[in-house]
Amino acid sequence: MKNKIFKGAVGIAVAVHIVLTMTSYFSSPSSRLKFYTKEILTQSWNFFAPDPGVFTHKVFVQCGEQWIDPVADNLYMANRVPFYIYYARTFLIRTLSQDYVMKLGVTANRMCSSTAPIDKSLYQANQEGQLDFAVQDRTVCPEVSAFMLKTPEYKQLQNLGKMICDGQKAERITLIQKHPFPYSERESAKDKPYYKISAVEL
Amino acid sequence: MNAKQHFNLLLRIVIAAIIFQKIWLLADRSFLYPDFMFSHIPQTTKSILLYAEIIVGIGALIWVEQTLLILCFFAITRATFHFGSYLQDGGSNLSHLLALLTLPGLLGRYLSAEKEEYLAKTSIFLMRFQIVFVYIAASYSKLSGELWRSGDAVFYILQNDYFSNEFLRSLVIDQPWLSKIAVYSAIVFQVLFPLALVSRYSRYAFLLIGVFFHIGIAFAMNLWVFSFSMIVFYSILLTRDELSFVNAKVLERKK
Repeated sequence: MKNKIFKGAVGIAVAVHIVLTMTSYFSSPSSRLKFYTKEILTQSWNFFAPDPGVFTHKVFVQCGEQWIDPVADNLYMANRVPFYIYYARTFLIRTLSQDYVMKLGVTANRMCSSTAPIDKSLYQANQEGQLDFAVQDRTVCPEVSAFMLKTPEYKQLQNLGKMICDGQKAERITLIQKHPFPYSERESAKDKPYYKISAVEL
Repeated sequence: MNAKQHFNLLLRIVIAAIIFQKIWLLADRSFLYPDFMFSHIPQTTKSILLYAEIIVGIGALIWVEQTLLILCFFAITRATFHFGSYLQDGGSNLSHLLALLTLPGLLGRYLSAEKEEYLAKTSIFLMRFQIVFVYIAASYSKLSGELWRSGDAVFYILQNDYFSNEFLRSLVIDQPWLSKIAVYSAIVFQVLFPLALVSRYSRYAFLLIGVFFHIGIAFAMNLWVFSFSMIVFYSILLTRDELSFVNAKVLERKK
């Protein structure tokens, strides 16, 4: 009996020690130890929680005269083919576009006095399966535009555009942010293809 | 099946899951690992590591007793995980953590038989704890989110083009109460999962529900590889006797 109580107490002490150590590690500021170990010890289990990623970020690339949505076919096929091998392309494109949008937002909030970072109208028409749209341009403040040209996020998107255009420099690259229908406006979701789209041109 | 064999079986499962995840990515290697991502690592190095991972992994799967081979595989896997970090999802993250947790068992191979058995059991316990922790953390995150508490999270998630199915999106828009059912079912499942493992029958029930839960995620959100990984890792939660039973049945069918 005493042995069991002793073992139980040791078990609880070990568990508390582990929890406290991990809590201190994860809540501590950056350090060399953390730099080398964070990739090994990172636990990221907030699957679409607490705030689910409801915005769709996409890239549209103009190669010559043609506009290309590099994920359109992949998403169409992924809905129909399990383990569709080209679906992983969406991970790369989503990461690059999200990183740019976040950088733009943070930078614009810091540098621009009153201009919202992304608030443009985008008219998008789907004609015979081809995307054809005109961007009504309202740029962010000039300081941000100049700053973004030097960022690695911008360069990565330019490189992505080049890859999509088979090695040629893309004529234009536009990032869009598709907003979800709010729950209160779900009735309009039955008739409209999208609620709101924001766009920024690189 | 003794503890060592049990540990070796689970080790094989983790290695096989990592190999499968990588083969899926390797099929589109030229697009997914372009030279402008992590450009400080030469493309040749990336290519060599990606192919080496598969080859060494298959070797580790076959010769699971060769500890150095397994450690070499895990080291290569860490490297490819690093320069392909933008391609990772929960399944690959969990695979790498489970690989890390096999280290005590691998270390035990260099010690006495008694210590080897003890460390093998320790690894198995830690791997099980890790899987349970995934659900604890996920349920905590969900309960912290307003959209999850209101039951509207699935309504919004299915409007994300990357993580939705056209049919289910239009279904949820037409019948939004389905979102609430899906959300609250997911939360209840994840909250109760750790408790359900205590009893054998509730464990079987929850593992079965979990299989359908992850198949549902795969269909609804195109996350096939992640869902497949989670289902495969459920085998870690089975006891040694249950795995022996399954193993015996498989061998019986082969004969």
